[in-house]
Amino acid sequence: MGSTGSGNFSDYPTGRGNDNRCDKAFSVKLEDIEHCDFFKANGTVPAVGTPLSISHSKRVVAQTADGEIVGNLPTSFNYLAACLRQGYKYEGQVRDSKVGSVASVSADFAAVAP
Amino acid sequence: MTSVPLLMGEISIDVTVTPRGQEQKLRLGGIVHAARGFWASSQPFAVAAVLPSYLEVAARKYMAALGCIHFHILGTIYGAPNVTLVFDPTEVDDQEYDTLLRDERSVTFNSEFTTADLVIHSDVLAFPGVYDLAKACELLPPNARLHVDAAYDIEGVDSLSKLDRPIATILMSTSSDLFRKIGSAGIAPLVANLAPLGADVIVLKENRGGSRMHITLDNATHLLPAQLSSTVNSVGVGDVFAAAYLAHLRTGPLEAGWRATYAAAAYSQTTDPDVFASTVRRESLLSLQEMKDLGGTSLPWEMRPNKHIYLAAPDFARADRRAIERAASSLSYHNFRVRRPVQENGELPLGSDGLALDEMYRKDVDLLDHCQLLFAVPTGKDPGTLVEIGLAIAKGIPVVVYDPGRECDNTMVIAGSRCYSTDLDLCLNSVFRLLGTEGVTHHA
Repeated sequence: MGSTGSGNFSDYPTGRGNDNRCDKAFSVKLEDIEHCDFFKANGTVPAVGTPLSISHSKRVVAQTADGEIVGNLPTSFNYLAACLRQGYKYEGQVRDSKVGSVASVSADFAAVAP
Repeated sequence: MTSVPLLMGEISIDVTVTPRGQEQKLRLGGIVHAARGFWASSQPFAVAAVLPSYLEVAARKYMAALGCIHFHILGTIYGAPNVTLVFDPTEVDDQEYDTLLRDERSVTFNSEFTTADLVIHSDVLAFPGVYDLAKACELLPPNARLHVDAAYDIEGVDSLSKLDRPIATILMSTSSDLFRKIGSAGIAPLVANLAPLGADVIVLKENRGGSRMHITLDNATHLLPAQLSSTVNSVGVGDVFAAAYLAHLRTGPLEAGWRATYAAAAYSQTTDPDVFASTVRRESLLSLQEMKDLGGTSLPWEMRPNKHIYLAAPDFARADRRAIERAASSLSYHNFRVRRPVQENGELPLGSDGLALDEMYRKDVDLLDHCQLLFAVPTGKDPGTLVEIGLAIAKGIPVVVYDPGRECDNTMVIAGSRCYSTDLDLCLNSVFRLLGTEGVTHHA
């Protein structure tokens, strides 16, 4: 329990809490698309609906079933690295993608707890 | 007996002043923040506390729950309850701490407290306060390594010189008065000003722009990027950094600094101690190299004035400028150069002719061209602000929209912006991400 109210000190550790951030689904706009494996190999972005998963390869990345990295996740998603280390998995698919002046890929992911 | 670090300083009560209708939030503060950092880092510790007598029972009990193995009373505070009101828990701007009856406080040292009580502590993390730090340091064992978090109540370098003992680590925040006096020009002058103290390590905590660590032995400065996320409460984040740093110092200062950065970020994202500890312990699974490769956000203090931010808003004399002033104040607090076209180029009277309008338009666009980011506050759906947003998007200048009234909840505004939010905290994070370096770690 966090600090609530002003009647007493209520934020004693209980040992029962857990960070549920690893359990949360999320949507993300990937970064550095043109510099990643998929674009370099195929000259384009994955189609909408392409299955993706999250992996930790120096950065937290989204990759295809073949292991081709599509893009990096913003550093605000760095917390996923530790979640992955604990055994969480994140599976999802491409929600939107386009090749234009700047390639873009957005994706949705759901968490699979260990 | 295994040595544990000694945590020295005041214990207070932090009260986060919440909006009307919400119950105030209250928790133990002062060195208790650092204590939570030790606890989450699985580091037992001891305490030499300065506090009002009425807090002693509660403080002993709470500290014991965090793993405190010895609780010493260093001194007693009289004349004030040592309660601090916090009006901005997210530090989008100056947090405006208001310590009640702060001018009436006095400290009486505990005459029964002696060096013999502290002989087992080889490291001391000291937080200066209303008590006489030099006198407190006289009680420390001669071979104890001193780490000072010089956030408050340090007048100048002389105050630290008077401690008359080696200082292993000096930690300082850009929000501290001491930093404003001796470090605001940059890390190099800061290190030079602190050089006479001979510290092994100097850490400058730069809020959302990350931290920098200068290691004297290497004469090298290292970036410790921030791990930005939504801020719940940033009070005590710097203290947690200091504690986590000391808890991991056995692995070397650089790794300790990285782990401290992660712990500090975790502390800012929750007031639930179990969630905080769970996050810290999970992230301890990452290696130093993994943390480095993941990167984060870095934007050193002295580089920020070079980042000109165009404030697009109905910044007119007769307009409701509360949100605009809040945004401008926040950006200025974080040391960005805020360019306000209405203030710089002037405000045309109603009925101005076409030539005057054209001239003003060109001045504003010219100003925009000299800025690295456009920060919009589209109060009242101001059409000029919306045009400026569009111009910036077309020019490839990143746009952040702070729309507390959600007046421009529109596809073009939202999708064209790099960040659109009613939350100034999130907008500010985006400013740092867009203007800082992301995912890159290197020497400063």
